[in-house]
Amino acid sequence: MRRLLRNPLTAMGVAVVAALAALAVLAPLVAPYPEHAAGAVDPVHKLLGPSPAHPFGTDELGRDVLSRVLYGARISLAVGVVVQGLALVIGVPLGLVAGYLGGAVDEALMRVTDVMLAFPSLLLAMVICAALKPNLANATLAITIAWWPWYTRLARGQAVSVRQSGYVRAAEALGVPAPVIIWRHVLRNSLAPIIVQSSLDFGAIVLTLSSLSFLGLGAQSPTPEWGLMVSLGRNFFLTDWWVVVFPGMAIFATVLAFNLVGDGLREALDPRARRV
Amino acid sequence: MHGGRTKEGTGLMQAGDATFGAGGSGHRPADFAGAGPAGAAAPLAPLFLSVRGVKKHFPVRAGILGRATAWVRAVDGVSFDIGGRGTTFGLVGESGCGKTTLTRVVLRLLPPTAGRVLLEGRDIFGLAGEGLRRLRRDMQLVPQDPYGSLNPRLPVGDIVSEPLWTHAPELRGKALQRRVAELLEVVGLSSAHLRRFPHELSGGQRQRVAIARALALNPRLVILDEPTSALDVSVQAQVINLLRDLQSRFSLTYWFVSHNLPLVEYLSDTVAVMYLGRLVEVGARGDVFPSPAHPYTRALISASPSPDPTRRQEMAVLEGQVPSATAPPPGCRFHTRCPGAESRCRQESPELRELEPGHWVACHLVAARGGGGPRAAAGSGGTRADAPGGPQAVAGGGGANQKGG
Ligand SMILES: Nc1ncnc2c1ncn2[C@@H]1O[C@H](COP(=O)(O)OP(=O)(O)OP(=O)(O)O)[C@@H](O)[C@H]1O
Ligand code: SF4
Ligand SMILES: [Mg+2]
Repeated sequence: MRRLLRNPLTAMGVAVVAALAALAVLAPLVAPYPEHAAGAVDPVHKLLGPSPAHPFGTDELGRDVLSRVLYGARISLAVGVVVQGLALVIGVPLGLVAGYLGGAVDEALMRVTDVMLAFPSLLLAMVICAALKPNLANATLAITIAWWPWYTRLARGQAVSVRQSGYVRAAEALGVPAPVIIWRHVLRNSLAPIIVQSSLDFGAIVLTLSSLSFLGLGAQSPTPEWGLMVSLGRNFFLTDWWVVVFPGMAIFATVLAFNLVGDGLREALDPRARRV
Repeated sequence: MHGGRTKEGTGLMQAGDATFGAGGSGHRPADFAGAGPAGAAAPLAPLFLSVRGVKKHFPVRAGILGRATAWVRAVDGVSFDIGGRGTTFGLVGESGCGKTTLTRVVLRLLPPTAGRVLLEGRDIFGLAGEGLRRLRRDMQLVPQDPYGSLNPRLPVGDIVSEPLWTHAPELRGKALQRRVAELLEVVGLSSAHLRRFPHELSGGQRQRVAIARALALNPRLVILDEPTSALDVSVQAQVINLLRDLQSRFSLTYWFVSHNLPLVEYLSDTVAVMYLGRLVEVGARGDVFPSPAHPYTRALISASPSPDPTRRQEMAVLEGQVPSATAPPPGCRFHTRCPGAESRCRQESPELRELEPGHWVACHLVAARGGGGPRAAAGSGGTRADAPGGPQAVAGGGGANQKGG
């Protein structure tokens, strides 16, 4: 952990992620107009520029942009956690089992993931969203479906290399059952790159969600989703820039912060990069 | 813990007569006694492990379809027996000749291409379920590389308890901890090491952990695959002494695999010499070392480091490369490097033939003269000084086709 924070860029990433998480959790307490995130409108005060009363200004329906951005953090992080969690829970065990056992199961699974990974994740998620009813839950589902094969591939690659190791062979010679070998030996020694990749991916998941919403395939009004806010505000962008810029910056900061953390983790967990 | 300490000062150069040591006597701690009849006391130990005609060919795949275009004949027809409890069977051969592959087939970690392996009469390739579990208890492996054979993310205590977790469900909690601590003590470590991770241990300590893991289940056969080749020379001697000490205390049966000939000579009761996937000579140490019969064994012995520097001058150094195991030479596989090769050697593959009771050799020329019996054994004085004369010199009489050297 100390090694992780020694790099100033990583430390900054960690700080931003921590701040985002805190704000997301505390949004009901810190947001000046929580009702504006829930659908209430205030047309009298529409499109006001940043001011002490509305630090991020108000949008075309008079809603406080700061409040909506704070609530948006809840949505983005929650969807990120759910997608990431599901993708890991589905993808990693499949990849480890396929990589460790090899054979026909492995072949079949790799063909399936090959096909899925042949499409860009965003495109695949778009197609799924378009086929379902566009809303936040379906967007979450669509991103999960597009995402798990990446973890299957990653976990499989790790398992294939760990399978050759002396300690796995020693465990096999001892007659340790395959599930135990996968759990005790293969998983533990495959985890580091999976953690790094998860961290790097988190930003990409947030971005994908925003992209879907921006295109009208994800969250629907009045959900304070960042991509949707950018989408709705883009008609006023030239005159009332704050409606677009603040949610846009939130997306940017989130993606960047998770990337910095991921890079830092990679360095900290990679034994070759370690200075002893 | 009975007789706890490692014997101090069991020098590497002391002769190996303790091998049949403390067999069935009350020497063994109770925990180790449970592994069936402690048979060294029996006058005629039954055959323990029989390997018959074992082959293992690995496909070399090419192309998108992954069809096998060639075969690596890593092990190509090997037969031998490992005898009674408390003895050591030494397998020696150059790197890549198939030693590890052979052990993996015998451990049933690799399916064989052909052949049978009988462990006390049971064909191990037919085993499943409980029989296979039994096999995994009976045969234990100390792998080649102590750096790779321990999971870097598990503490030593967990590593040593893994076999007990797997096979001894009655041992849990305190009893398990006690057993693990005892095993660590047996291999010269202490319970202070329980919580350490492999990267916190030296190479010698790691190998001790691997040995403790292998002994946890009172195995009937311990396969030591170059247990010291990755270690410093000074540490090697310690580990070797530990292995000898453990063998005599628990009357363990070892299958010792190495490319280090002096070490094999020091440890083994029976020696098998392997070349390119085949055994070329098998015999009691007392037969093979003073008077090796196969030209390859002779070359190996003369090439291995001798303590006497003046003798080094006369070493017969093997010439040429080891041929590829994908396309082994026809006939005798050694003919490309054999100083005594004749035309017959290039066509016919020599089978192992019994030269004298218990001493087997696969060489046309030696076998042809095998009836002559009195090989250079005692007379020609010394092992390492033998002239590199090819098989003829073995039989004593100067052959007509002396083209060695
Ligand atoms: N899984 C495998 N697939 C293909 N070829 C293999 C495989 N395992 C071993 N081989 C080949 O089989 C031959 C014998 O290898 P093996 O590891 O048994 O040799 P070894 O005698 O143990 O050598 P060393 O002293 O280096 O440990 C080598 O040519 C090796 O490349
Ligand atoms: S003499 Fe012939 S058979 Fe004997 S080892 Fe040499 S080549 Fe092989
Ligand atoms: Mg080997």
